[in-house]
Amino acid sequence: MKKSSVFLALFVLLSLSLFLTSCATIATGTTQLVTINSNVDSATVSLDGVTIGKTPFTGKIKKNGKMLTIEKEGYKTYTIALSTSLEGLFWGNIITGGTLGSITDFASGAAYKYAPASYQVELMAKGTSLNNFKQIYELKKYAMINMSNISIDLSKNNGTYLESLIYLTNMEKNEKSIEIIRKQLIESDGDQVHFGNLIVKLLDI
Amino acid sequence: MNSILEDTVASNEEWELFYNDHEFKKMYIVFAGPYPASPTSSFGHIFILLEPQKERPFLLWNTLDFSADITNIGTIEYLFKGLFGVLNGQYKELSFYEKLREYTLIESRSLWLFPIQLDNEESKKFLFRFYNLGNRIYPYRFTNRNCASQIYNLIKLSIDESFKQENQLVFPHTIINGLKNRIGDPIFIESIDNLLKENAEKIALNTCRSENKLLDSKSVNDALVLNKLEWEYSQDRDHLTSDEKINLQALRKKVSLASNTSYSNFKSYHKEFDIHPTTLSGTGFQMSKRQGIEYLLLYRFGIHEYFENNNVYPSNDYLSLLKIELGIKKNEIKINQLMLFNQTSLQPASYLSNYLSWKLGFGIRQKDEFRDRQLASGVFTGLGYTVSLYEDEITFSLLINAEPVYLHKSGFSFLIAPEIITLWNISDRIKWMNCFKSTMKNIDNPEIYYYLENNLGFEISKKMMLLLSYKHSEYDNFYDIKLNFYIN
Repeated sequence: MKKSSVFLALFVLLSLSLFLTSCATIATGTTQLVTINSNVDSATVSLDGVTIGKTPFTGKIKKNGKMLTIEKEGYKTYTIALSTSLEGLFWGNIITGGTLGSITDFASGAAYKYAPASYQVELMAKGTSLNNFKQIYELKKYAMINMSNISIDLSKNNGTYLESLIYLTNMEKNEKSIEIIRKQLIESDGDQVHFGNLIVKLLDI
Repeated sequence: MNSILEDTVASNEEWELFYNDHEFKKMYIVFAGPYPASPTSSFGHIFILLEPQKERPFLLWNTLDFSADITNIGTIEYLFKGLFGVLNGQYKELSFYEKLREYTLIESRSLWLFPIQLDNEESKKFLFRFYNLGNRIYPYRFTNRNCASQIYNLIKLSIDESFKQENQLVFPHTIINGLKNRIGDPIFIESIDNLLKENAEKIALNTCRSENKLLDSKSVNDALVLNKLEWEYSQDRDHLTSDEKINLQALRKKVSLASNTSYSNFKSYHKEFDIHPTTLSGTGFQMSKRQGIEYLLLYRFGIHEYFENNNVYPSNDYLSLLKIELGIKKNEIKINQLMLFNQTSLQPASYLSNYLSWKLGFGIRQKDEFRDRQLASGVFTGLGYTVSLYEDEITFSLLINAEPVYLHKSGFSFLIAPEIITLWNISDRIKWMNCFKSTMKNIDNPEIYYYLENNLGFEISKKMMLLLSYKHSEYDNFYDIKLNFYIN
C-alpha cells in the first residue's frame, strides 16, 4: 500500500473512532475505581461472595463482577446486581432508577450514585419502619446529589433546589431554615456524604 | 412478551398504595431534545411528569417513562442496536430532579414540558395501565416500540379504550402532534451548558464595562465555576481525583457563604416548540450549462441540515439517516444523492468545550466539481475545527475531508478535500451557508478541482422552506430553486 493510502486509511479510521467515541464514553480496562459509602461505617463489602473491604470503601473492582453485597450485623443485607455498559460499571438498579412500585424497592435498603463512580448505600436496620427509612433515604439522596446547586441557591437565599431541600426536611421556608441549611453545608466542609448525614439529623425521626 | 394492550390484575392493596403515591392533578408530556451523540436518542426522548395532588416542589414530582436498556452490550453492538433499535425496554419512574440532571446536565439537552388535559377517570386509567406494565421487560424497537409509542398508546388508551395500537413509525415529536387537541403551550427548560454560556457572557460583559461592574461579580463567577465543574465532571469522567474533590468542596462552601448573587442555575420560560419533523420532502429544479434543466425530487429522514432555518435544535449538529435526491430529465431519472447515514457536527469552540468538528456519511453522492460530473460511492469523512462570532450567529469551520470512494467513471479513488464552511443566521427566517472546497483526486498524481457553493434558506412557514443555491465549479455553474416541505 502506498504511503498516501496508509495516511488516508488512518484519517478515515480516526474520523470513525471520533464518531464512535462521541456516541458514548467507552471505558477501558478490566477494573474500575469506585467509592462505596454506607449509612453505617464498617459494613462489609463483598464482590461475588469474596470480601473486598469495609465501608467507606475506595478501591478497584472487577468489571466482570456480578453481585456486590454490603452487610452489617443488625442490618438487612443489601445486594446490587452489577452489569457493564459503555459507561463502565453499570449498577442496574441504581442508574436506571426505580422500577415501579417504589415501596418494594426498599425491602432491604437502597443505593444511589452521587458523584462519578461514587455510591451511597443505605442499609436498613432490622425493625426500622419503612416510611421512616424512605423519608431519610429521599432527603439524603436529594441533598447529596444536588449539593452544588443547593450551594448556589444559598448564595441567592432562594432557588428551586434549596426550596425542595427545605420541603424534604419538613421545615418552613424562611430565613431561619435557610440559615440552618447553610450552617450544615459549612459544617460539612462541602463534602457530600458529610452533608447528607448532617441534613438527615434535621428530620425529627 | 406482553403487549401494552394487556392488563393483568394487580393486587388491590399494592395498587392502592401506588395510586396514593402517584395521584396527580396535572400531567405533562416532556420532550427531551434530540441527542445526536447517541443513536438511540437522535430524535429526542419522551417521558411523563406528574404534578401531584398534594403540593410539593416540582423537582420532587414523579416522572414515568419507557426506555431502552443498554447494559451488557459492547460498542459495535450498541451502535448497531442503537441504530436499528433491537433492544429491551422497561417502564421506570424517577424524581424529576434526577431526570433534569440526566438530560440538562449530563447530556446537555433542553426540555419542553407540554401540559396535557386528562379528566379524573382518564388519569386513573393511565396510572392503572402504567402500574400493570411495571417491572417487566418488553422489546424496545427504534421504530414502533419506543419511548414515544408506548407513552402515546398509554395516553390514547386512557382517553379511548377502543383505541387500537398502530404498528407504524412513532417518534417523540409525532406524539406532540398526535395529541395536539389535548396539550397546551410548552414550558421550556434550558440545558445547563446553555445556561453556563449565557452566564459566562454576562460576566464577560460586566467585566468589560468596568464602570457598571456588578457588585457581586466575584461571587457570580464562583457560582459559575462551581456549576461548570459539576457539568464538566458529569461528562466523560469515571472518577474525580483528590484535588478535584477538595477544590469542589471548597467552592461549595465559598459559594454558599455569598449573599444575594444574581446567578441562575435553572431557567424556564414559555418557548415555541422548534423541533423539525423527522421527514422532509422537496421539489425544485436545477439549471446548468452542461446539464440543462433538471427537475429535482428530495426525500430526507433525519433531524435537519445546516442550510435550514436557524431555529433548529440541536444547533450545530446535523443528522440524516436517509437522504435521496433524484434528478429528472425528459426520459431519464438519475440519482444525485443516496445517503444511508450522514452526520455533521460543527460545534464551535466555546467557554465550555473545545470539540473537534467532524462529519461521517455512507452512500452515493453526485460530484459536481470534476470535469465529468460523476457519482461517488463510499465513505465521506471529515475532521476540523469551528469558531463562532456574535453568540454563534456566524460560524466558520475548517474541515479536511477524506473520502475513499468509487467514482463511476474513473474507478476507486481517495479524495482529499479541505473545506471552509461559513454559516450565517441572517434573521430568524433566513440562513446563508457558503462552502469553498478544493478536492484533490489521485494523490500520487494529483488533480485539483475547486468548488464553491452558496445556499440561502428562507423559512416561508413552519412547514415550508425555499432554498436558493448557486454552485460554481471550473466546468459549470448550477442554479437551484427548491421548495422543501416538512411532513409530520
